[in-house]
Amino acid sequence: MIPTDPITLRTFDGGARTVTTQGRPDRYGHLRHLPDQYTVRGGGYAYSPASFAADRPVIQLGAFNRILRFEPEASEIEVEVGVTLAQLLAFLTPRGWWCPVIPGYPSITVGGCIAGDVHGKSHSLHGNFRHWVKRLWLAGPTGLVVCDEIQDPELFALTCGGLGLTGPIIRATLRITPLLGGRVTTHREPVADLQEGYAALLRVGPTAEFAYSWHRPWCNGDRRFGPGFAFHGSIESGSPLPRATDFAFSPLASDAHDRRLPFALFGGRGNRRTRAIYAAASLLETSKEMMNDSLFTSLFPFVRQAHYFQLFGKRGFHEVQVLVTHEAAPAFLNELEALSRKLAPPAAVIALKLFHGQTAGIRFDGTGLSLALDLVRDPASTTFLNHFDQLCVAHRVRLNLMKDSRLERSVFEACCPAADEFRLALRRRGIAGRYTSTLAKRLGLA
Amino acid sequence: MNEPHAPVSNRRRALIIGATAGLGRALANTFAADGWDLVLTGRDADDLDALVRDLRLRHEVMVEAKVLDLGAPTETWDLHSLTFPLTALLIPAGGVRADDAATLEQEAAEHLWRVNFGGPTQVIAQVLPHLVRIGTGTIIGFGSVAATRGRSRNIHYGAAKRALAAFFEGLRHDLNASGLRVQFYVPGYLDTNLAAGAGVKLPKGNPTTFAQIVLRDIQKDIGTRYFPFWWHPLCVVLSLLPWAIYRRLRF
Repeated sequence: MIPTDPITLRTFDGGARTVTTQGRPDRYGHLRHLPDQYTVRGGGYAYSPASFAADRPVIQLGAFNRILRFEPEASEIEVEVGVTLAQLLAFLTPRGWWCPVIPGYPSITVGGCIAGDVHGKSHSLHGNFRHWVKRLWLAGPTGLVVCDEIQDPELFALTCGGLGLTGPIIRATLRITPLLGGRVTTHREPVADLQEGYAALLRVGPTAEFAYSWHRPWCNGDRRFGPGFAFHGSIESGSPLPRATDFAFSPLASDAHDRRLPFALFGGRGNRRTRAIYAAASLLETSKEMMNDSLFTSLFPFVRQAHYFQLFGKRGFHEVQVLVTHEAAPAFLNELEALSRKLAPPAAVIALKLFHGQTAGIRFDGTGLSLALDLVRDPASTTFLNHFDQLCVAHRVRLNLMKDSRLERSVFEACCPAADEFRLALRRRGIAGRYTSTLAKRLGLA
Repeated sequence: MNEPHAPVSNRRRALIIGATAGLGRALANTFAADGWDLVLTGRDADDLDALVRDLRLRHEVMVEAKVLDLGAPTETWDLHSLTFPLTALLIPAGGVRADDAATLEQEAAEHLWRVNFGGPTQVIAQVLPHLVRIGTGTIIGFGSVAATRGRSRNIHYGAAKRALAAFFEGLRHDLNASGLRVQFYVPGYLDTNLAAGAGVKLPKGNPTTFAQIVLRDIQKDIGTRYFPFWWHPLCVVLSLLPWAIYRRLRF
């Protein structure tokens, strides 16, 4: 058995906390002597409690972070999945390659990307992360177990987006693609409300390397709800490739709540403090319609804006992210607006992205509009989110299980009819409950 | 930094014994990042393989590997087949047992001795003639603050590390006029699996920071150094405590 130490773990959003023990295996021999039941953990950047549970040890796999094979002629790289996105890109991009599905923080591990089947800012072009995974090796009692679309395709499908519930992923072969340059040109277009932001994404999003919109969650002077900006960008072909050092940064610890302000700066009556912050920030804002940034800055805008999370204070924040079909999106946006006008929740931002994929299992995937909403963690938000849950159920949205640390099982069951199939598959394979987490227990997944 | 196409004889090359985990792995990463070619040993072929592949890819240095278990009887392994020259020999390997008490059975006690003293000294015995022939280089050993004074925990480990400290002092004395440097580091608790599960209350040192210090000072005649530095005065105090007080301590 590997040694463990007591540890207190919290989700990045501050919504869940547990005291447990943690082991950090750093040898292949350790993998043959893991406990019977445990929770797998990578970087711990999920907003929901997907990587710990109160009644069992956490096995943190960050020491398995080596690059094993690089075959550009086959467009492949093989890594141990503790490699972070920053490490992966620091290796690949100077050599003219990359994996284009990159979620928002560079300390997220490849394993976390696989377990969450994450997305980047170009879903219409590149899909979810699993489309870039060729093969996986999971740790079993007698050694590594390989799976891909031919060898145990069920295990492969369950593991991609399976929240770590199929066991510890140790290695992965990833598909990679040529990187045409290291600079990104981004166009910024003001939009008057959510609907305009959605329309802008429909216009440019399907073919853009980067496409998203950010909206202020209130009415502007002209009473339109959700003014903001739509962004679409592309890599400047022929621009100098990044250097490995471009991906050096000071990481925010996944549970650094003690270093946050004791109170929230966002919020206030009628969300007035949030409005004041945005008003002050707009004085510093560029009025440029076109920006040219490094690939690192374009992929990870929150690294340079880590103070954003500070503004929620020690209690943290809520983030909910849902995927609405295009058919339901106009009505959903209208109803969200009506709810927000009525309750004036202390929301900080609404972000939109386009998705073009397939709904399957418990993954956050499909075709439609992704909407993410950040709120201050307080009673007003709780009230709003209870109504928001009903909105989600009514429109049968897909839920991002990695984001909402207070998601209730009833909402999940209503929105994810394939959950039973996932549960049955784990039971059939004899691994139900073996690697469970606080989140999985609450949702009855394992 | 080694020039990519420099002749082998001009390149900096380190042999790291016990490179696949903890401090050894941090040293391997740090030296490779600085452009050193490496020869690495470890007990497990899978661990060695992953480390070698990673270092070759990321740092584009030459890396050789040899499976070597310091805990195995010394007559079962040898380093004479390694290619030379070397610029540095580092022996961070070591091991502890939770049941390391005075009553530890013979086989387990002898294993601890081999891993922490017999193996490292035998490595030096085999490699030293090559280093003396080259006439320059650094030999680096790693002890432990646990060797400061005998205590009820880790009794064989502490004794072996104290013996190793004496050996390295003797080696330094022996090689004083040779052009070779002998350094001995005394680490406190490090943030590795060696200190995991031990209920350590004091801050743990970062193995990567430690490795960077070792690299930075590899050409210096430092003698013995503690890491983190504050262990040095702490160990001085510990060693001077009267028995009437020391015997009451449980740590």
